[in-house]
Amino acid sequence: MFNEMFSYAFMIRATIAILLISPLFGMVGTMIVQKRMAYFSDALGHSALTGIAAGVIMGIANTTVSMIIFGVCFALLLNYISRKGLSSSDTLISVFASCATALGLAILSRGGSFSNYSAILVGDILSITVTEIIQLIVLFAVILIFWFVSINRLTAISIHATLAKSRSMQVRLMEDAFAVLIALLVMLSIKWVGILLINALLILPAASSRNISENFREYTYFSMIFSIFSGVAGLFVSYFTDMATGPMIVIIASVIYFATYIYGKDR
Amino acid sequence: MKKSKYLFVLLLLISITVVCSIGTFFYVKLNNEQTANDDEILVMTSCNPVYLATINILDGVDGYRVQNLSQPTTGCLHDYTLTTEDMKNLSKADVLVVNGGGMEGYLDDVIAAYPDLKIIDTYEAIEHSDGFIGMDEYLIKEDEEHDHEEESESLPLEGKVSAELTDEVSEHHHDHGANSHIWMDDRLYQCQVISIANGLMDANPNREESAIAENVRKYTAALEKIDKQGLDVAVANENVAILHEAFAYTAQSIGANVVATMDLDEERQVSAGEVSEFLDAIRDNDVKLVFAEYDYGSSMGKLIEEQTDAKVVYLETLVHGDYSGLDYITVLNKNYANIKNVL
Repeated sequence: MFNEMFSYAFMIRATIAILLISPLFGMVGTMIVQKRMAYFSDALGHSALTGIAAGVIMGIANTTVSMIIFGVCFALLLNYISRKGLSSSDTLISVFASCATALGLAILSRGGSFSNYSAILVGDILSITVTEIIQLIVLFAVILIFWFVSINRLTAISIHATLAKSRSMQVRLMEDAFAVLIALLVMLSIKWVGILLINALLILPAASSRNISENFREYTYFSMIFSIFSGVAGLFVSYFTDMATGPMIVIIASVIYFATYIYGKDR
Repeated sequence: MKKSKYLFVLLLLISITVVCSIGTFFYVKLNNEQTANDDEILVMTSCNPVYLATINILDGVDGYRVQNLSQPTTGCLHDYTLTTEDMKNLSKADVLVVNGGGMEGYLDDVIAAYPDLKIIDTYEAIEHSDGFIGMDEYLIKEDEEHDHEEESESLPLEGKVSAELTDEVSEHHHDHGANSHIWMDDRLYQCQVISIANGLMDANPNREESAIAENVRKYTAALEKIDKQGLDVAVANENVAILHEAFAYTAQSIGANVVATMDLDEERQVSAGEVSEFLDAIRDNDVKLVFAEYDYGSSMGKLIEEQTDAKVVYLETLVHGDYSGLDYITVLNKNYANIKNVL
């Protein structure tokens, strides 16, 4: 059964991609949940539309490039504006996200051709190519290095920013770097996961892990385990049942969340 | 406490794995379809029109199995993406028959993934008319039998076909490129049938006597009998408007002029300006007939009937649903009968 499955090149590529993306999602997700940035990553996902639109307008053939550039700018801008603190950050992020989505939709629906881009809403992990896998490997390395270098500082900032500042940590720089990192992860994986579900994959494993873990180490490890498990299981189930991969992963991740929620509540 | 937590996570993951495996196992068992014999040539088709053409061409011919890729239940073929089932089937397939002309957006991915897969692109074959060598005689014969008008006479001849088609194609501009719903014109559909047959017969030296050639003769003869209800006289050179670009070819098949097009499907957002322009075009050009697809055009159809004197006819495009055998002829006959009914 499995032999047959891996005789298809597309399944091998998809499995490698899942094994690369899902641990990153589990890892970065923990910090997103910890820093209450769920809205932020959701907004970033939606801004991918605008990134594609910008690429289309400027005639960039590879819309991934324009998506990444736009995503990084968008993330930094969001950080900058929320620091000004003119209104509460969830409101601000909502405003930005809706604005970016509307702009993207307006441009992409010119002449009624939005259907060309609708694949990005659901994502398609089966069409991933070798070049794109290499991109993911590079991203994997970058995020891993960043994580080991700065996880302690990030954690400190997420717990008490002022205290961290008093310890001469560069709060702003760390926050911006982390935002750029999320932007990179979201933009490089959105084609495979889809705008509608990308946030679920970032949030669910970390949230499930939070339900049951007692310290930061457990939190990170459980999150990664849940993420990889739901990714691989989702891919395999979707292969045999002929259903879309992204939703299947999210369904399994949700089951894990509810199970850990019930377990954590009774504890 | 700690131990029980790890145990819990382990049990949780194991039970999910077990449930998933069992569920998947039964699901696969229930949906199991017959698999191809290795000695059979597996011909995959991309959409209903070419599927219908192919099953008629290979009707009763040994050694071939025809299978249609899974069809989108809604919306337009253009933005359809392949399912894992499709990818599995394609990896076993020997030939893929596509409509072409941008209808199959995933085609480039398929070519990249399966470089050895032979692809018969009907649109391209007709456009370049390379595919007609050796097959012209049937169509010329048909032309002698039925005295067609100028344009259909030009169809079977190699050089003219390409010229005429390229003109037609450039007439109906489409967001995805050219209008590739060529099967809606029965004469172009005949060309598609022939180009598919040519593609399938490539390696056969005695092709004219083969069962495939016989099937093509039978099928094109049946296609010739499609009843246009005298519409090619009644509405020839009349102005019509269409709510789905596929009907540009319906209009062309009966000689009507398309003066306004608004392409509707479920993902299409129409702006107010577009609607008013469309209604103006209907009034200005004295349009009596509007062709629409019921699913996506009915609300707009009501509006058009309310605001103008035009009658809206709902036609089928053959894109959705399951079809078999001679359904192409049935559907086209029904379409023409529907048009006739509102006149």
